[in-house]
Amino acid sequence: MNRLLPYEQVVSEKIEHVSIPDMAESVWAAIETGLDGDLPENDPGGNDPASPSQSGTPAAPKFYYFAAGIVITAAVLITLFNPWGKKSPENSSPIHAPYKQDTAGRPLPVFDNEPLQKDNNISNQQAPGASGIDSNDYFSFPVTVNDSSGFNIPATTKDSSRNYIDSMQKVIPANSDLQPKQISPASKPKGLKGFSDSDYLIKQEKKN
Amino acid sequence: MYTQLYGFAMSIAIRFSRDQEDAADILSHAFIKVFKSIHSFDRGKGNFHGWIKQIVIREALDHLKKRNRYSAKELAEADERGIDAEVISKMDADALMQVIRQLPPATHTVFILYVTEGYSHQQIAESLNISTGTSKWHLSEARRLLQQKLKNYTPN
Repeated sequence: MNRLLPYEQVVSEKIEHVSIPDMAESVWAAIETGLDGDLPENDPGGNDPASPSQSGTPAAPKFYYFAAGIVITAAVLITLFNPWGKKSPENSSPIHAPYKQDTAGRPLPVFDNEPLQKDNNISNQQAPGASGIDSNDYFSFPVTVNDSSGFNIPATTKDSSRNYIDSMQKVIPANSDLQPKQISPASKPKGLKGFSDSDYLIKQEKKN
Repeated sequence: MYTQLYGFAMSIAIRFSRDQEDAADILSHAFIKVFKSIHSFDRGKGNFHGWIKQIVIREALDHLKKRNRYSAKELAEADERGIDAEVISKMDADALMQVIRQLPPATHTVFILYVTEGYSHQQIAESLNISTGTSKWHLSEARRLLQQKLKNYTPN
């Protein structure tokens, strides 16, 4: 405790009773101004955690709108251009085509309408007699028919695909769905429209 | 809370200020600090009014530091110049306060801190970033000037 002079003790007591100016309203206005000035500019609701709906509302939607725009744009681009391509379902299991064998053990063409069946129990089974045949030679394996059906197809070796199709057409009934379709290139119209081949013929005029 | 604390806080601010506007300025800044740091108030370290008082005094001293420089003069011991206490006791409190406000700002502040707030010279020196000798010099200067002013004082 400070050692006060007698008059200082009186001063200390007197000062306790100094009248207080009635400036509460103006001081409060200054306090409000000061507190508002310290708030973030775009945050009129303040950072009151009790009011989350107002907290940071101006800044947050900008970010979310921007992110949503990017996602939507990316989805549209992927849908339109699909840089990875359309993936076909992978089928690794071999297709088992029922076949018949001739006496020599070579496969015969199928005569009935049995559809090609997928046999999951068979893995990479190779038809007897097909060994040594490259997949590119699918249409050129030796075909020899010698049964009681009465058809006699001359044996060919390294038959071309065209010969094979011709031979199949002879062997397979005409109304069969297995009848190979004729492979014909799309015919392109020749010449000009309205002109036929006869228009191009040069006819020698008879001289009188 | 502000309404309840206004009178208490203003009675402190008015002692350190030159006029009412100065007091209002000190008070508004002090209350802004109170509202911002009210979560840091620790009941274990003191009562709430004591905490408010410290904030108001600190704000008043900051207010004074911005505008005034303290004398570099120092004294080993403050002058104990006597003033007739009876004269002062007859004075109105506001009139006495007006006389004290006529002191130079730094001298006024040291006098109020020492006489009314009970600060020691060491505490005053730490609060105002001055030496204890300078604090003593300001107190002596306050006593000398008050003696002069009160000698010529004539109540209205």
